[in-house]
Amino acid sequence: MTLGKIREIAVLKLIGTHNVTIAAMIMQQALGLGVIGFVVGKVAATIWAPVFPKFVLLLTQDAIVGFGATMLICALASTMAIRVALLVDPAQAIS
Amino acid sequence: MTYKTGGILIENLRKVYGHGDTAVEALKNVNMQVSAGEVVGLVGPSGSGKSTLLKCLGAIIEPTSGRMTLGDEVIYDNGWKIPDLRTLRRDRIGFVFQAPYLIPFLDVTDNVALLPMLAGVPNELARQRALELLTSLDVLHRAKAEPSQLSGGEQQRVSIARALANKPPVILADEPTAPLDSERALSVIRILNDMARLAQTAIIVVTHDEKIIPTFKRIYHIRDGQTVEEKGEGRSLE
Repeated sequence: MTLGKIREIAVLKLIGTHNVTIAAMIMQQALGLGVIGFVVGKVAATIWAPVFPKFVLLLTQDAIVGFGATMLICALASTMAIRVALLVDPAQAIS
Repeated sequence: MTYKTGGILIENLRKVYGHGDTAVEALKNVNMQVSAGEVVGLVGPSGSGKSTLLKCLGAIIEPTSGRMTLGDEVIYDNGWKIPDLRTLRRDRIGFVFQAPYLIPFLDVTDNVALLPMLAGVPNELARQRALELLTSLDVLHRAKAEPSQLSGGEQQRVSIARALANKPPVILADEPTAPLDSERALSVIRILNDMARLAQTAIIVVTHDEKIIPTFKRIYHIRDGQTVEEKGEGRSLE
């Protein structure tokens, strides 16, 4: 997603947005996607669980750990995008 | 023409890429002056040094030597006089691009209010300023829309509002009419002239668009890294 927005990131840098703000935007987007993914997965798992023959007991604590792991994975994944974004040259915004 | 304070003054600006035998002099003693409230054209063929000059004026790359005055302050005198160039660009230079490049996940108001917010203006005041600009640019009815819901002309007007948001003394417009038809291109130039007059901003329009060149009262031609000032036709925009 970040690679598809290189020009917009260059524009943000060119008009004076600081790296911390850009990094926060990317992190926010990654965590937001993580939350959406977790909620969709949890709801789908709850709805579909009776269809499956084997019963797996997931406690609330497991869900909390799962949520934490999802957020951590998303945050780690976003560091790669942040690294790319910080390397973008603001001059790329100029035609 | 005598330079009135409040705009931009460029004196003997040089930019050399590389060193020694491989050095290329992209800008050779460029001199320009654009007063507050004035719109001038900067035209020249590809490879003439237009982009290099724009990047120097926009504090994106460092010139090799010369002097630049922005508003009433010398920002470059054989070296930057302002330590934080990002803050300089954010607060003192407005940019309008060939494409609007609005932030897709922010609505129109927040796209305009973003820069004042980043500059520390309280959110409500920044949004109020954005709404005033959208009103003067006749796009207030789109204030809550997302950029993707706007026409090309509306997006360009929003990008002009964004450029004006921090009341910069200078706006650099890089081929702002290139993708537009004649009517819309002239409309953008009319808006830039109105905004220059109202906000007392100096506007430099980099272009090779034959549709708009006759509208400038003053034109700087750049060729082989040197600028020549010329009186433009100043054709009426009414």
